[in-house]
Amino acid sequence: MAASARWQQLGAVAMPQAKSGSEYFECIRESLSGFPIQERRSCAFGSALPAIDVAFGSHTLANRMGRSWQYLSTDVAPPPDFKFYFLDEDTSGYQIPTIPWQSFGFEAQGVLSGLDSEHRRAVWQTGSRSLFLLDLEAKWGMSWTKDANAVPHWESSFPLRYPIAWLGDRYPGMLVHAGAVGNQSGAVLIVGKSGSGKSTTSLSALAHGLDYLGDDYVIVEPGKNPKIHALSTTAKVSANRVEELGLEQSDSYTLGVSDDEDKRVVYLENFRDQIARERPLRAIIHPSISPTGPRIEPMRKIAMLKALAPSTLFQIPVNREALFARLRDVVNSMPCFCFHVGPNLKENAVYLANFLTDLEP
Amino acid sequence: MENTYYQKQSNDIVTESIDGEVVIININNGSYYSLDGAGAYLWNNLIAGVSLETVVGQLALSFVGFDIGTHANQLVERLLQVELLVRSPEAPSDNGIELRGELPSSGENFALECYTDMQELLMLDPIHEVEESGWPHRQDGSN
Repeated sequence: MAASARWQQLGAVAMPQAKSGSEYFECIRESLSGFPIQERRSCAFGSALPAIDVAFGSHTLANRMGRSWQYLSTDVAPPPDFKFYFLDEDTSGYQIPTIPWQSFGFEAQGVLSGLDSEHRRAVWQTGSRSLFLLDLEAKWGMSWTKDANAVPHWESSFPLRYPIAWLGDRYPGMLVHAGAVGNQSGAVLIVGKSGSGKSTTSLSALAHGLDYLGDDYVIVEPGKNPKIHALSTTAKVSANRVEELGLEQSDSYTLGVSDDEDKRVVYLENFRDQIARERPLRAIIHPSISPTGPRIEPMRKIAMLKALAPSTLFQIPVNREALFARLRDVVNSMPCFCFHVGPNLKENAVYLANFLTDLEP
Repeated sequence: MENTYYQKQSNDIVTESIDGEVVIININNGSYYSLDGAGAYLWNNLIAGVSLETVVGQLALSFVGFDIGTHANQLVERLLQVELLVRSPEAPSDNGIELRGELPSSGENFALECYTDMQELLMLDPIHEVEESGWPHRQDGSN
């Protein structure tokens, strides 16, 4: 049977009561009311984003989708207005109405265009087989999958990245594709495409005493005194570098991406004392491997914008035009440097720590 | 001589400048581009509604000895080819649009740098088949 006919059939059968995106959202929202929640946690990001009350439908989900940010969670009283639910069918028993694909559309990166609106976001993540929904006005969102145990580790390492990115369409905080490390003086944003050395730079700094805010996604809070907020206490690293980076005692799992077999997700619970929730943003650096490093030299801001913006804009479907302009403002307001990373990881980390101290106002 | 005007091909073309240099992104297909020097000056003025002839005239006046017209026309052809620009059907309603931005330091460098490494993030084939449960999956069984 042709796919379109199947969608039509499935759509008609699966969700006859939802004729529009707003009806579908309302249907889900009503079903969440009173649904038994097994665990709750809150996360807060200063003035960057609203605090979020995160609810898990099962302990399995809490372990799978809450572990990567458990040391970043915080008590918020009373519970935040913004609710986000992690639910699945197999371990929490939440059966979600399937979507009538033929009328709600399905575009690049899994965007469900018929469900999207100015204040609603919806994505089906084919790789992790997860549905993400967010309503910016009604202040709730959810992630649903069939079986929490089947979620790949690349998904559970940043389970909040969709709602955080979407909240950035309305609040100051921006989810950026970058790492960040720092000390009491502040932190540097480490910018570059995948494979550019973000993780190696971040993790070698962690291994030699600097504080860690992330190696892949962090939140930037712009403004007069810009800040970086951490989103996850995981790292992605090639299996053959785990020992070199001092991570052999940490739990790690195969990333679960077919063309990336060598990569592992590492949970940094052994480094809890070096996990920083937030730090002032002092500079933006772009790592570049050099046999004569370490050294740092100024970098043209347009080159830094070119390194940061495309990589950030195309990770997750957001308001890309607005985010591009905001990224430009952040880059333009910060000192930008190329960090020539040398072969000695400790020397790199010490050099970076001294650089940070020199940047302190 | 008739003036020619251009505009961004669509709202999918977004652009930002810092210190006279430009990054242009096609948010629909993931391609992105950079221009600096005279090329960035030309781009910024064309999308602001200044005619090609006015921009070329200013650059030619400032950088005598460079074949500004040929290089500018070649860049415009390239910008049309990669669908960043389209020719405007008519002059902007405000004929008093003035040249903007600082003149570049030289009349050279009309090079358009093109990058396509982000396209794969957008080109993932979105839907392949819907399984019995009603959720889509890829036909080859991969993630």
